[in-house]
This record gives sequence, C-alpha cells and structure tokens, in this order.
Amino acid sequence: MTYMGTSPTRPDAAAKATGRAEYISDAVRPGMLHGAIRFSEHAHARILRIDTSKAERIPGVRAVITAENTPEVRLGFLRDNLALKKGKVRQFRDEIAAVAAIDPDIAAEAAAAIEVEYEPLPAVFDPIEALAEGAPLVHDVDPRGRPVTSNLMPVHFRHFSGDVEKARAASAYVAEGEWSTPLIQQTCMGTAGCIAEFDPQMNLTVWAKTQIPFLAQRDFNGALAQMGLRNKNARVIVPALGGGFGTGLDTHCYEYISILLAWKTGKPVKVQYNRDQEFAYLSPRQSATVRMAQGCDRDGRLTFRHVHVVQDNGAYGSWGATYPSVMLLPATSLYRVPNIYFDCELVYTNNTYAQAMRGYGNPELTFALESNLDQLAEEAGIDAAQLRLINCNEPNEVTPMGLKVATCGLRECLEQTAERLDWDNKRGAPDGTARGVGMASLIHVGGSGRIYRSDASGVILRFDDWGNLYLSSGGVEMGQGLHSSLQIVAADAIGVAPDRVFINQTDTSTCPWDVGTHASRGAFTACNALLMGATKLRDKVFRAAVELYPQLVEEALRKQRKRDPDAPAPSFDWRSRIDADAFDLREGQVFLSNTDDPVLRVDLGKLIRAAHFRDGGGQMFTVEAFYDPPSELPDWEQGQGNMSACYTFGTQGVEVEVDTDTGDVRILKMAAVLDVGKVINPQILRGQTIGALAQGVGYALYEEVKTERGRILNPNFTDYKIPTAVEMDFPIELEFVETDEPTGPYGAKGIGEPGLVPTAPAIANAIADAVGVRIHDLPITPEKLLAALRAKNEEAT
Amino acid sequence: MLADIPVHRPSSLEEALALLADPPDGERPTPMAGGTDIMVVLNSRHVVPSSVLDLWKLDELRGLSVQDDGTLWIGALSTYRSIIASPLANAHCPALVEAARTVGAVQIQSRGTLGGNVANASPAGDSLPVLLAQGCDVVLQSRDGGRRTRSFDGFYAGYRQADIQPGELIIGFRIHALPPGATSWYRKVGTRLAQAISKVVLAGVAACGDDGTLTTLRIAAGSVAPTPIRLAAAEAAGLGGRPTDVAAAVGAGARADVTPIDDVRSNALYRREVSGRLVESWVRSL
Amino acid sequence: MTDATTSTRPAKRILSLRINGSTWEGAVEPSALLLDVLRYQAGLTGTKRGCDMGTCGCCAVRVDGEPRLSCLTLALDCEGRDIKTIEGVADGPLLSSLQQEWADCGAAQCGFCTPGFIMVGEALLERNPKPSEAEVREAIAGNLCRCTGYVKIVEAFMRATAD
Repeated sequence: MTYMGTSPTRPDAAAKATGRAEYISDAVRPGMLHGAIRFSEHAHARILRIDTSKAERIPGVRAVITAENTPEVRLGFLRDNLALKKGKVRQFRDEIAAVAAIDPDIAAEAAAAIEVEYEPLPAVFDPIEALAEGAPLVHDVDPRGRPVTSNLMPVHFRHFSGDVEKARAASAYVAEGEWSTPLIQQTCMGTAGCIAEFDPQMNLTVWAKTQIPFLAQRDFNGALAQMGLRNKNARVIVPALGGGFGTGLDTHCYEYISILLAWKTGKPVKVQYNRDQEFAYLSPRQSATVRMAQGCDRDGRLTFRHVHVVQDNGAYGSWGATYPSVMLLPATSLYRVPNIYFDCELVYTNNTYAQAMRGYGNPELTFALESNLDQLAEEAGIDAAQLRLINCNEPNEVTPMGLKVATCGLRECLEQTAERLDWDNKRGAPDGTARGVGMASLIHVGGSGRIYRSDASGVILRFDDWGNLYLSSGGVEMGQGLHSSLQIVAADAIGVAPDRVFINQTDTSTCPWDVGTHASRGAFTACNALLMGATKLRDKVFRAAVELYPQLVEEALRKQRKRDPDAPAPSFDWRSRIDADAFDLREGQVFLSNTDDPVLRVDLGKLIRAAHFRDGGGQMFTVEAFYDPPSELPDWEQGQGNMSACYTFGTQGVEVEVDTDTGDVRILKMAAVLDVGKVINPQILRGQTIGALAQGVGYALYEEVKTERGRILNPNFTDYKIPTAVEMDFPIELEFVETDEPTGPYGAKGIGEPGLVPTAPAIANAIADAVGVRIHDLPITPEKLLAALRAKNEEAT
Repeated sequence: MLADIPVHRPSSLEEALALLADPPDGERPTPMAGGTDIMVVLNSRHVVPSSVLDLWKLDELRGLSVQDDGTLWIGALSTYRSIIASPLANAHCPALVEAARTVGAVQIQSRGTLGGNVANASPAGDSLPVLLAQGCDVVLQSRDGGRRTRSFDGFYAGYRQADIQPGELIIGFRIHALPPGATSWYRKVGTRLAQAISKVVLAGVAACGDDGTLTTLRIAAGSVAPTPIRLAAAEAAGLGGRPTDVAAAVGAGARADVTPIDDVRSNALYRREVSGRLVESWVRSL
Repeated sequence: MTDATTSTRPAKRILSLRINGSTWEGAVEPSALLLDVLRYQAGLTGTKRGCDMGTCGCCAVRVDGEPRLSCLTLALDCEGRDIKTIEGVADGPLLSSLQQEWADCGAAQCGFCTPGFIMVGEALLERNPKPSEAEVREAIAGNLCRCTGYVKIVEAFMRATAD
C-alpha cells in the first residue's frame, strides 16, 4: 500500500485556507428571503393570543406564520415536538411564530413586533422534582392525544446481569458515589442555518447543516406529506459544515420553519442563527446524574457495578434521548465485571431540550465510572493503574452486554499511558507540591453503532474518460477528514493517485444512502463500502482490458517502433498472459502484474475512452457498493446485543498542578494512547484525537450552559468558556496502538469521538491525587475546588 | 446586524465637545472610543443608544508623557497596546502594563482604550484597581465648563455611575508617581487563563521603611463590589507592621472589605476567599 | 423589491474603501459594520461571522496592516484605509507561506475559524517573522477553534516561521 498511513494534503485544505469554502452562512439563492423566529418568553405557559398584525404591516415582510395558519409539522423520533407550537410553550426557546422578509434586519424587527399573550404555568426544572408526585406535566398528552401521567419519557434502556446484590455483599471493598455532568454546548464555529426552496413542481431543496442528509430527507418528506404535498420530494444538499459535533443528528424546528416560509412565499428562505441564537436556541448536550457503585475482591478483581442514571432531556425528545444506548457500553463492558445493574430515567423538564454531542452518553458515564474506580482503588489500597490492569479487557472476549470484542489494545494503552506519565514515581508522591497524575480509559463503538435499523453506507464510484475517479458517498465531511480517508483508501484500493479522486458534495440527489455521520462511523463504514466498490470497479476495468489492452499496447509498440526502430521488443510474450486476473492498476495505469516495461503500461483514461467509444456498443465504468456492518440492533430493554462491528479502546493520562490560592487548575502534560486498529492518515487522526481531547478539557474545567429557571444565562463566548490556545498550551503525547481490526477498512477502527471520553475523569483523578479532594460535578471550577479545599482544611483542624 | 443609528465622527476635540454640548438630533450621543464595549452592546441590540459619537479620529487624546510633577499623563484614547509598548508606562506604572496585557486578545488590546475602560465604569474593568491603588486624577473637559480635574478615588458613585457630567469627555489621566522604593502588584483571576473577564482583580502599591515595616500600603480590588474599591481595612491592618507579621491580618481585612455577589462568572464566597488569600500572599512576599 | 426601507433609518453614505488593493465603493448605513459591508456588499464571504462580540476572532481582517475584528469596526471608520481580507492573501493559486503550511499541516478541520487565524497570523509574521511558540499562542489567544485543539495550528505557524 502506498498511501495508507501517509498524510497527503486534504482535498479541502486549499479552499479552507483561502476562505473559499462555502458554508451555509455564505450561501445565497436568487430572490432569497430571510426568516426570523419568534421564541417563547416563558419556560411553561399557555399561549392565549398571538397578534401578528403589526409585523405584517412592516414594509419588506413577505409572510408571518404561526401554528394557526400553517399545517402541523411534527418532528422528533418520539413525535413530541412541533415546528410551530400550538396551545402551550414548554421551554424558553419554543418557536411561536416566524417571519420571512427581504432582509435579516427587517425579519428580526418583524419577529419582535409580534405580540404574544401568555398564561404562565407552573414549571419544573429539576429532573428529580419532575419525577415527583404532583409535578407539573411538561406534556399533558402524548403525540396521539392520550393523557400522560408522568414526566418520564417512554424510552427504556436497561441491563441486568449476574446477581449484583449478592456480589456487593461478597465484595472485599466497595466504593460508591454520585456524579453529575452539565449542559454543554457543541459550539460549532459555524453557526446553524439552512435555506429551503421549492421548485415550480413543488419539489423541495434544503441546504442543511446536517450530519444525516438521508434521514433528513426522510424527515422533510414526512413534513411535505403533513403539508399536503403528496408525491413530492425533498433534496438535501450539505454545504461545508463549519463543525457538527452532534448538532446535525436531528432535524430542527428552524429547518421546518424555513420550509413553511418558503412554501408560503414561493421564494427561497434562509434561516441563519447568530452566536447568541445558537447558544439560546440550539440544543446542547444533556445534563446527567449518575449514581455508581463498584466493588472488588481482595485481589482487586471487580465483582459488581451498579449504575443508575437520571438524564434531563428538557422539553422534547431528540436522538439525544438515546444516550443511554451508548452509556451501556462502558457500564457493561469497560473492564471485566461479572455482575451489572444499569438503569436510567429520562425525564422531561421545562429546560431547553438537549441533543446529541460527540461521545453520546459515554463521557457522562465514564466520568462517574473512572472517578469511582479511583475511589475503589484507594479503598482497596491498590494502585489505580494496577486496578485497571487487573480488570483489563482482552482480545477475543464477549462482554456481559454481548459485545464481541475481537481486537483490544487496552492493556497497551494503560501501560503506555502510565509510562509516559512517569506514573510510578508521580502517583501519590507526597512531594509538597499541589501536583498530581490521573488516568482514565474508554471503550467506544469502533465499527459504527447500530441504534437504527440500517447502519449502512453506500458508495458510487465512477471513472470519467480521463481516468478521474468520482466518488459519491452519503457521509458528511464536517472537518474531521472523511474525504481525506476516502481519498487515501480509494487511491490504494483502486489504483489512482489521491489527487485524481474527486469527492462529490453530499447531496441526496446524487449520493447513495448513508445513515449519518455519527458514532465515529464515517470512515469505518464509507471506506468499507469503498473497498467493496473498488473490487467491482477494478474488475470492470480488467475485464475491458482483456479485450482492449492488446490493441492499445500494439498501438504503443507501433508508435515506439516509428520513433525508434531499434527499440527492444518487450522481454516476454505478454499476449499469452492476457487474463482479467493478470492485470493490475496503479497510479492510473493498467498493466500486467510483474512488469515495469513502460510500453506495456496503458493509461487508464485511454483504456476507458477505448471502451467508451468502442464500435458496436461502448460502456461506462460506474459501480455501487453498499456496506452494512456485521452488528446487531440491541434489545435495549435487556441491554443485550453486539451493537458495533468492533470496539475502540484507549487511555488518557494527565498531570496537573492546582493553585491552592485560587483553585485554578493548570494542566502540565497529557498522554493519550488509543487503539485505532490501523492508522489511515496520521495527520487527521491526530487532529481528531487532540481536537476531541481539547473538548474534553473544556468539559472537565470550563464549560457549562448556566440556566436559571430554564433561561440560559451565558449565551456567549464571554461567559461560556471553550479552551483557547493558551489553555491548551501543554505537551500532549499521543500514541496509537495498531491492533489491525479484521472488520475495519484496512484494519482501521472509528476514532471520531473517543478522544474526549476519558479526559474529564483523568483530570478529576489527577486533581484528587494533587490536593486530595474529589469534585463530583463538572466542570471542576476554581469555585468548587477552593470550597472543597476549605472544607478539607476545616475538617483537618 | 448592527442597530441602525446615527454615528457622528468629529475630527477634533472641539468638534466632539460641540456635538456633545449641542446634539444635532436633540439627544446627546454616546461617546465611543475603541468600541470594544459599546459595539458589543450595539450588536446585541439589547440597549440601543440614540446615536454614537465616534472619537477614534481624535489623535490629540492619544499619547503618554511624564509631567513636571512626576505624574504620568495618559491620553484617554491611548490603547492598551500603546500602553504595553510605552517605556514610560513600563517605568512609571508597571502594574498598568500588566493589566493591559490581560485585557482580551491582541485585537482587543489594539482597540480598547484606558479612557473607554474608565468611562464604561464596569466594576470588572481590568485597569481600574491599578488607577485606584497607585492614585490618579481624571481630567475631563466640556465645551461650556472647560477642564475639570478630579481624583479617581470616588469617581464612581455607584454601580456603573461615573462622575462624567453631561457634555463632558474624559480627555486623560494623571497617574501619581510611585512613592520612593515602592513596588506595585497586579493580579487578575479570570474565568479562564486567557481571554477572560475578571472574577477578581487586585492591585497594590507598597513600600517598607528602613525598619522593615510598611510605610505605604494601598490595595484596590475590582469585581468584588458595585464599583472598584480601595481595601481600607486591609490597608489599615498592614500599615506600620512587618509584612510577614501582618499578612494574615491584611488578608482578613481584605475579606471584610469586599462585598461581592454571586453571578454567572463566580460566587461571593470565592471572590471573598480569593481576595483574602491573594492579598495575604502578596503582602507576605514583600 | 419595491418596499421603501423604514423611514426612521438614518441616511446612507457613500463609502470608498481600498480592499485587497482594489477600490470598492458603495452606500452604507452610518452604523454598518465592516464585517457586513465585506460579506454582504462587497461579496467577500471569506471573512466569517462567529460571535458579533469580538470573542472568537473569526471576523479578523487587517486594516492598515493591523489585525482588526471587523464585527467591532464601523465600516465608515475605514474610509481611506487599506483593508486586507482572506481573499487578498493568496496570489491566485499561489498560497502565502502560512496558508501553504496551513494546508500541509491540515490545520483547517471544519475550517470556519481559519480565515481569522490566517489574518491574525499574517500580521504577526510581518511584525515578527520568527515568533516563539509562546508568542504565537499569545497572538492567537483571541481566535477560537473547536476542532483542532490548536496543535496543528501552532505547528503551521512554527513551520511558516522556519523558512
């Protein structure tokens, strides 16, 4: 292989470095109007009256819509959300009305001029309170109109294996506690937006900032049906994304609103959020509370794990409500544990409704699990790294959830992390400084994650007449480098130079089905589909070569003789070797294997043209392939099923120093060791892993969407802190363990999310090692740390 | 996305003061220096002034110089960048240079001005405790009232209430010379290492006599009260004592002096505790 | 569109700017942001709107060589000034050395923050052709990136200074 493991320049690099990449905020359509949305001013209220007359009179306004004058459009996998709210609002950001106008300022002015009269209702913001008897109901009826009696969502994820109570009683050591994680914002640098446009036949095109173009097509087609537009189709085109991180996993009310406005006005309509709208009106990551207990025997072997999760979903269900599907992975399968209890309660509240973010439940659970494991190590008097090694997952094991782990490099990850941190000398060292080291590990889906019937990815490959390869995939390039991976794998698998591989813009009208770019699956599934297609395409080329190669070579030999009558003839009888299996294709040249005679190398474009224009019927070189990973859709009630084709493991270690005057935490060093199966492109692998790690640092130390009775208090980068280059100014030692996963494309596993999964518990464990206090709720702010240090000192004196 | 309002662009101080004294639209425009605060307000459209007086062209309000009486003159429109780069500021008011370095990124430092920071009157203003601790006079001017000089101590009557009379502009600052042998100190505790709004900001000036006791101790703090404040109890607890002897008492005084609140950036308990600890550590190091 | 704009809006003024070496002229509202004039009137969408508050650096351009946040800059304040945007950095297909390193290092992931970083970076490298890593990090502290953890960004800078 020539290109696997190398870093050719990314196909999008120059466009991005010159500012020419086109994001949704840059996109314009002829005659386009601008949409603005009027959001709720209450967390929970009945809508008594909406008066749009003033807004309608503002010059430049083209349409004002409410639930009253548009068809009902339901969304969300629980069908519990409406594009425009009817009857009542359940959160501050509920969409009540919308305006289309000739410029964004007029649209905003008109949206503000809409008068809404409310009757405030009692609201509930704490998920535990929401579960109490007599709590205000966020939804009084289900989507079918049947009365509802509780704020518990109708979604269940459980797992019980072995006998947890018996194991607990028999454990030599037990540690337990409660951990909580905050609402955080994905903060894509490119804010959300879309353009919706109907053609004269009333087919719809949506330029969407999405990670799921084909599920979005399905959703939008559903909306068209609800709007009475039968037998019409939605086409979804994905511009340069400007970051995804999970925000594109669902379709959003603003998208349906732009569709409704486009339908009302007959013009393309753009809805574009700015930063404070993105903070206030786009769904963040859920907050969760995890109760966790684990025990071990005298030798440190884990005996049981008891996990209970309460997740605040806010007012509506998004795919984010299925976080526990991924929480099940670490809960049942990170380290070897024989007896497991996992249950969760997903709760409606009047908080902003949450959605997916990178890691999808895994960081929440792993924060509790790995923090608790350090406590257990302390309880048992066993070194924390040793405890992890004792219980380490190994290759070829089947976990209690039924995960079939074929390759597993966790042991190496743990050992290398400890070595890079100088663990044996630094852990627990009473050196008089407030420095400490900590570590945490992860398991995540590495071969996509089946949370939907299909977990597939298609690819269409086409050679043009010049031997350029056009690759259509439904996967979304959101910056992670999917297109680079596709280029590299295509170059090696098909035999063309990477810069001759052109990847089409993701567009449901030209690209084949892909379930979505999430679950770290993009490169894993698309490259597997590509490998299947590559075989077909090469076969097609070689079969044409059987017929056309001889005449092309004869022609080349004739020309050569004409130029140089003394040129030596080929050294062997190539004619007798002609056979479809005897050909090879490399760097855009077709030749018989085992020859390097240039005259016997035929330019691929030439061969294709010969086939194309052949007398008596030409041909084209287009193939498709469809890959659905060898995994199972788990039974969520039982928490059983091999949800991924393979699993990614890793460990992160961190050394911190705490300023005991201010509670500030400074990271001195991090080590991250990841079992990646095989490296496709080291540059983008580093980018993905360190980028995720930086998000993990933010999650651990800085980030929190603060709310007060459902209202977001810090909708800006002044008060919502993501790490800058200054916070990230510490050495990161990054290592990849290659376990050559049999199901992976050329052995590779999915790596998009794992980088942030263990970061927060590694930091929390390092802080505990440094100053002897453990913070149970993220982010670990100086305020919490200083208060804990004071409490500890007061206890001591 | 900016609010659509008139913007006046005087090219001289005289013209600016005339526009303030005799507003063309009837309502007095809001002066704007580098715009790092007011543009944010305008962009957000939450509070929209009726018009803006853009002072950026008034070069006569820029520049630093040392006066005959040893005070350091800083023109109101001097940017943080120019303060950082100024040898005079580095020599005569090093704490201000340190404060300027903590103000936002380079792009903000090259627009943000000392006059803007003072006029904006935020209790979290990064430079304000330095001006309080070292001592400073504010020089204002209006068309009809001429020049007025007043002490920076007491310049804020309350939360975001600066003593700027209608028609007046701040034209500069006279920063008092450090007492002989004095050292100055600056510490900002932000919401993050870089690019942070302060949770607590502290500045101090101290000098010891030949016997090693404190002869000068001036400490000021921001983000811990409705306005930047002097820490009177802390100063009183320290003056006349040896730093190591009085450090704890100074810290306790600081804790008593501050009246912080809980807000989105921090909480009262933390601000009080950190003020005390940092002041104590500084005094101990003297 | 035939609608008269709202009558309360202040009158527009004709503004002439020098952008990337060419003269641009147009009618702008007195409170128009440089960012909006560049993106919506001059058609230069390479400059990105990230936050409207001067907190993310996506909208950085150069005004008379200095890095400037175009979301906090009034367009009329730039009359007669020399403005450079990301579109003016490369010479046709020939990228600047920082842009080339950016591409080679893969420093752009989603790429939305890239134009702001490049503009701040070009200004830094012109002022200080051999910055230390700490100086680079200080210079870009006002530019947020959510994808990279800044490692490849800093690497691109250090390689651009090594020529």
